[in-house]
Amino acid sequence: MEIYVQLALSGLFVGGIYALISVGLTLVFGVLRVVNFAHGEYLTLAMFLTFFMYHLLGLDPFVASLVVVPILFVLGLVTERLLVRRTLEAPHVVQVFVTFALSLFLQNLFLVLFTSDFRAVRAEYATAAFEIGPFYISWLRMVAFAASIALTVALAVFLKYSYMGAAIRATAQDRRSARLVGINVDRIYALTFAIGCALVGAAGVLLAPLYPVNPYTGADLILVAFVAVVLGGMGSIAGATLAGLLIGVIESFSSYFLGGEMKQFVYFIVFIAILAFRPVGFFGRKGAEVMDVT
Amino acid sequence: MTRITRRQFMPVLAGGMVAAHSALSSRVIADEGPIKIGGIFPLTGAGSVFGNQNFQGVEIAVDLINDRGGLNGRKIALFKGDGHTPQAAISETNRLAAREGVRIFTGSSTSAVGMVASQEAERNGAFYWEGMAVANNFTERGFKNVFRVGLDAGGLGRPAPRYIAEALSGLLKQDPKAIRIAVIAEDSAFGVDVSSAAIAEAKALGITVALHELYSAKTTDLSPLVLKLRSLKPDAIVATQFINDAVLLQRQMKEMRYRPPAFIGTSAGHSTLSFAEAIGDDVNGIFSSSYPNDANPDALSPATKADRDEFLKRYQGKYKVVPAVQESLGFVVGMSLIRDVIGNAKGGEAGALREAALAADVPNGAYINGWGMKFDAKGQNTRAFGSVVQWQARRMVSVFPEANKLADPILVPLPAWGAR
Repeated sequence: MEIYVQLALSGLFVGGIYALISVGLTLVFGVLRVVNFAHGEYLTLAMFLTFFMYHLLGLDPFVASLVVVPILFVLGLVTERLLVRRTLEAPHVVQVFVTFALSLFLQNLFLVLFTSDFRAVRAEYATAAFEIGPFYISWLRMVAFAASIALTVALAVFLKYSYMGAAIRATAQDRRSARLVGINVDRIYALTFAIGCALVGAAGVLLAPLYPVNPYTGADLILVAFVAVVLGGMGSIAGATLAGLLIGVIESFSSYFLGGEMKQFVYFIVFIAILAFRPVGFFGRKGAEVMDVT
Repeated sequence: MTRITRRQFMPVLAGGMVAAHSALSSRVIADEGPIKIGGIFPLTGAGSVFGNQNFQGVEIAVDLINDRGGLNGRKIALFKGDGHTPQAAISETNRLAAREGVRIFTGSSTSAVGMVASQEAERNGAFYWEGMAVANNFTERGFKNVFRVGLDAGGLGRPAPRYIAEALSGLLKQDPKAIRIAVIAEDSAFGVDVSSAAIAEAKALGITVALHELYSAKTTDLSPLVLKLRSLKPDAIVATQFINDAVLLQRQMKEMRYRPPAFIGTSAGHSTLSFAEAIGDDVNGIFSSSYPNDANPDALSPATKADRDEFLKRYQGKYKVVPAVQESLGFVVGMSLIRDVIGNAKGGEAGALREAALAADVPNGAYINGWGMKFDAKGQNTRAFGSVVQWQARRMVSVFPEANKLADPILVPLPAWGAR
């Protein structure tokens, strides 16, 4: 029995980070209808920034987040303005090419700037853990999990209760009607894209002390986020969160009982099975992937 | 239907003729000017840490030989080919062969690159000299002019169980036959081949293998594996890992307050400086079976000792760090190829180089890592051997075999985390 609880805890902690990465991706898709293939590179960038602030300035990752997250937010604004906005009316393939090209560009830029060495933030508390009865709980993983969930809830509250949140939701539902009632849709796009980047920036800060970073780290992690986004229902924040947590738990149990090399196999089986019965994912709307004509 | 017009076709034809001409003329002038060697290594991308370190080692060997006057008055020119993927390795090998007239290649630091670079070299009628690719089937493909001076997967995996049986069992106060080990490995061909060799050797020595577990090196969570290890309580863990997964496993074992009595990595992650930087003093006491990092200077010939001093001086002067396993291996690759094969060959063509390689009979201790050179019919160096190093005071120190031993093992069984 103990082992099941310990496995579930490990899985939830990892899943919390998957969820935070996925939420930014699904938010951008839900509002702009753009799949941002460079999302993983923003994660890599946030991890690198955290590493260098820790290494060069001695800033603790949690302090560094006060700088890293705003930087990512601004980069999101810039990316939206210079690249993404120009493709919004273009066919999907153009959007895919643009964000995919950005992903490759950033990977290679990181290679030039930082080389392909693995860099690890070696915070003193990185491996600190406490015991509750027979269970071992890593402080850092627990804090990362709690922060992920808190940020996701904060985002949901923002979208539900603030005026700006309502405007974002209105744009997501129908961009033409949103424009008709006076919402500055272009600004909403920029803001949403920036929030998506800031969220993945937060995920990067939380991941940096747990996991070494090199230019490909984000690309490796982003596959899980894509699965979580589709499984949760494209554009659904609650869905992406639930799916992220579920994938973490499935990975944990399958690698204990079936072996580490089986975990991707198992969650993809679950993924295919769920989509077979519910093609829109947990909370997806039918037709969410169709772009409405502005 | 698209028709190729004459205007479109002519430049292609002209380009082809130029390429063919330069390839032919380079052969004609191959006996003059510098001796050209093409180095195909992953210099960018995921494998570039090892690729660059390997290449730097080769480069130091080339510089040293050139500064000593070259080979019979001819200088060596080393060309870079960035084989960051197998596809890139193919095009770079062909580019160097066609455009630069390179007839001698070396590489490659990963098996994926080495397998295709050697194949392209052979197809071009060139000579290929491998250092670090360990795939077991590398020398099983019936190629004539492809040689591996370094280890195969077995050479990397076997020393771990051997060291457990010969040295660690005594320190753990156990009969070798009563020892139980857990073998874990990342699930690419590298991890599978090396860990399988370790398991075969362990079984031959009567050691019980309580667990053989594979996982993806890209994983972000190894805590289920740690839980499994904790309930199995092996006497030693033998692990084939890359860098980030090696770091992750150590950190998660620490988090879950689990430590095995002994931990032996079988490369590649455990013998890198990044590994030590990431886990700090907790690295002390961890073993790594790998290429020999450093031979015992007393076991080397005086000439080799001079090479060793020169290599250490030049490397540290140029890169400001102490060279590790990949760098010294690169140096051995360069010295063995240039001095002992090209230097003894009757001509620069692949056939003459092949004869020189097969005739080479270099005793152990002739290279800075303690190796010698004698090839079997398939082109595998039978005098390459793996060794075991231990992290002591955050430096890698050779502890096995006897010829390479610089210090006795310490911290067995492993002390608690934070007390190493």
